[in-house]
Amino acid sequence: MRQITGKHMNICLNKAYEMLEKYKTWTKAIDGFPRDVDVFGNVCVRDLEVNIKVFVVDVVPEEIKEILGGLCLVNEDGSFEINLHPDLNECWQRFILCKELFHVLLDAQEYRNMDLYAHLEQLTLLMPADEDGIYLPGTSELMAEIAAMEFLFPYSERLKVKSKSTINLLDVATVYRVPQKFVALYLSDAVMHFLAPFCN
Amino acid sequence: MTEKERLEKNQEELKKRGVKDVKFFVTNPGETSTNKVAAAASTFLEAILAGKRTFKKQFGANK
Repeated sequence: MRQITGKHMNICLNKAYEMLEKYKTWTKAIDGFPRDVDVFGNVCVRDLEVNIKVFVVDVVPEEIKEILGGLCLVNEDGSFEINLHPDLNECWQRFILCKELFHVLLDAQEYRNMDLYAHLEQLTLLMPADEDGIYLPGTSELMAEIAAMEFLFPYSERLKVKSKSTINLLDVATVYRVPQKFVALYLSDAVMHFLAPFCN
Repeated sequence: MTEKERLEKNQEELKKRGVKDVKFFVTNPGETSTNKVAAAASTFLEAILAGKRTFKKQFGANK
């Protein structure tokens, strides 16, 4: 189950705002949308001095993208390999890449679990399995997702969109190049209310 | 072989290759069973371990 605390919200959003400032300095441009994920990747490696390779996995059936869009390998030598499903559209590719880049930025021992089946069990559970505390590798999934959304379609932009009398989700997704599913989720009253105390 | 055993086999192979963690992008967490996600993960990992992937880009210098 993916759960998050206020402490982890602050960690991921502070990282998102820190990286956004570096991205703006790097691009020397007035902020605009859609944001450039490739430039962001270069800002990440400059900041961390890590090596990140991106691959498209060739032989994965199309229907699997509805289950798993990609995965990131963390190697002993400190490098990262982001592997994407071959049939993702541009918005999904950008979003998954951006989320995995935030995994790289936020990576820490406490967010890792090399028992892969147990990890997937935790991610797919609908209720907390451990009453002693939240499952931190699951928390890191939400942290990376929230940070990626703050970079691609920030809270301040979402407020502007919500102030309009009518919202066409596909139009919004097209402007920010973010999957429509995440546009709808992050524009929902529940998510906006939850994020309000933490977002700039 | 169960999906759990299949994933454990891939996990051991990854460890031998120096992988110390895997971050999964589960498209619909909470809506898909663990076994289905594990099967998809194994399909991905088996392709990667067999070298059936295309290099797209690199951020940063070679190390």
